[in-house]
Amino acid sequence: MRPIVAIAQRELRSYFASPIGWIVLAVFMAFVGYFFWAAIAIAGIGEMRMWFNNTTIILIMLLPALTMRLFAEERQRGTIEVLMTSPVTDTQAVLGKYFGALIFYAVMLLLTVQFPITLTRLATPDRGPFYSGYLGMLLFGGTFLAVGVLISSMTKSQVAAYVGTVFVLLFLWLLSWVGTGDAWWQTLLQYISVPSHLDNFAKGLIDTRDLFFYLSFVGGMLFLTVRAVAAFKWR
Amino acid sequence: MVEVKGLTKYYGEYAAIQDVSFKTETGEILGFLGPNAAGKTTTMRIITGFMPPTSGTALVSGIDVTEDSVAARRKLGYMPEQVPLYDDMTVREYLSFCAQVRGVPRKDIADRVTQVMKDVDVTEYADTLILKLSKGYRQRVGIAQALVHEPEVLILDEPTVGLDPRQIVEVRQLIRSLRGDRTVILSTHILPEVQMVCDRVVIINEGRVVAMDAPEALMERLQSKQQVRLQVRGPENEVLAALRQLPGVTRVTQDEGAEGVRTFTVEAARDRDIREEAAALIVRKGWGLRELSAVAMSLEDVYIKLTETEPGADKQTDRKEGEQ
Repeated sequence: MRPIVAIAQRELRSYFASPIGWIVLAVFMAFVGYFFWAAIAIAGIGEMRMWFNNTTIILIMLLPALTMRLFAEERQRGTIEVLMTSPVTDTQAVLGKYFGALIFYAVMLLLTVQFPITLTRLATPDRGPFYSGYLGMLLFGGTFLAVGVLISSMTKSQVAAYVGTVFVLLFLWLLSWVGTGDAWWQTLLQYISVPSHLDNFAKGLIDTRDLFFYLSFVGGMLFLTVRAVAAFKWR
Repeated sequence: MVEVKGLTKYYGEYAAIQDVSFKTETGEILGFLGPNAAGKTTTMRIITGFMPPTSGTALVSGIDVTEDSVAARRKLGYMPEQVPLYDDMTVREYLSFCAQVRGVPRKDIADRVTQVMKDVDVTEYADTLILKLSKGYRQRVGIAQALVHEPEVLILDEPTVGLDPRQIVEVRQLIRSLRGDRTVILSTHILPEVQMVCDRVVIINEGRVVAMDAPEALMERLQSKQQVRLQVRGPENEVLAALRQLPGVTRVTQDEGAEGVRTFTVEAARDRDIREEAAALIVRKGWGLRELSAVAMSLEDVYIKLTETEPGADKQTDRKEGEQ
């Protein structure tokens, strides 16, 4: 447990010590601020559901920038050798890095809590969907980060990790379009597409099927990452 | 204590190391010497549990690295080649992180970090970003990192590469000061380094151990004749002829030199020291003896001899060692 905490702390500190963390944070706030303003001022919608859905698009671009460095940078610089010759298991290293990124993402989300608070000041919206929506956003981002960690462990190049992750995330996102319909294959695509599970949360619905989907998706990705780490050490 | 038994590692078809075995005594500094791509880094990566061997085992303080890698890693500190460090942390932050990951009790971390910074003399840079350190200080932090949890075994891969001469001397002194109750293994391709720093040397070439002994003993073993170098002012041909007449002399060669002053190298059998006789001869003839010295066979000669005799049938020297 201790190595996981130590590694997560180091990753978190590293985000705040490097420009990349601040850039991600700034770009994120600029976009989500605009989305919030646009929903109210242009569309005149006094709820967060649309905001949640819009924000997912910007996350496709930004979350890979958080995960690209996790393993790729350490492999490029060779620091991975010091880390992996410490008494740390592969699983602990993967979890530490994943949680470091997840906590940074949670901080990003926390900074947007001002939007629902503003809404409650302006009107009397139903608060339930806010809580479930944020839970959904955390899980949703968590799956994106898990994809990112996996791809970062498969290359030494941060650029390749970023591009590869954005591509995979876009693909997962597009599945939800293709899967609009009632045929069995459309239902299947709908199920395996990551964003389609978010809408229930945004509506205020916490369905165990969605929870199960996200948690098993993250678990599967992290399991593959542990295997990938063992593989790159082997060569 | 480190014991390596029959270690073999294949990268696909290519054997990086084959049947490497050696054992270190506690408290000694073992030099791991070989040309580039000889398999030094591969061997170290296996001992440190970074990669599994294809076959064979390595024991660190009696713990098999292939069976209980994490427990073995607790006993060792490792500084990889090129000293990779997290540049975005300060020295103190970095060493604290390493202490934490290596399982130093929380309450002891601050003290251990302070102590190890003192040991390697980086205290004045404690709160400097690692990014801003000179190469010599990076190297010190790299060694501090490997020492912070007080390991029984310390493994250093090419610890002096890329340093300037003064820094090299300092780092070597630092390494020598570390011997005592812990075992140090260091790899190098620099011969004098082994002679200066190590108690014992393992010479590896093309993935195989070719010799293992104390540096002096290795030289002794391969040295079958003695060489004496003389600088003499006098008529060249006469000097040459006279030296050849000395008992026991097998060969005399002559180097280029200033006019009238020549340097001669005299080879003779080992059983008698010809230095005094040579000096007496030259003085008797009335020539000027400028310099006289015994030429010890250097580790370099030993090394070249050993690595030359190795058949280089399927050389793959262009493959970079430790390529991932």
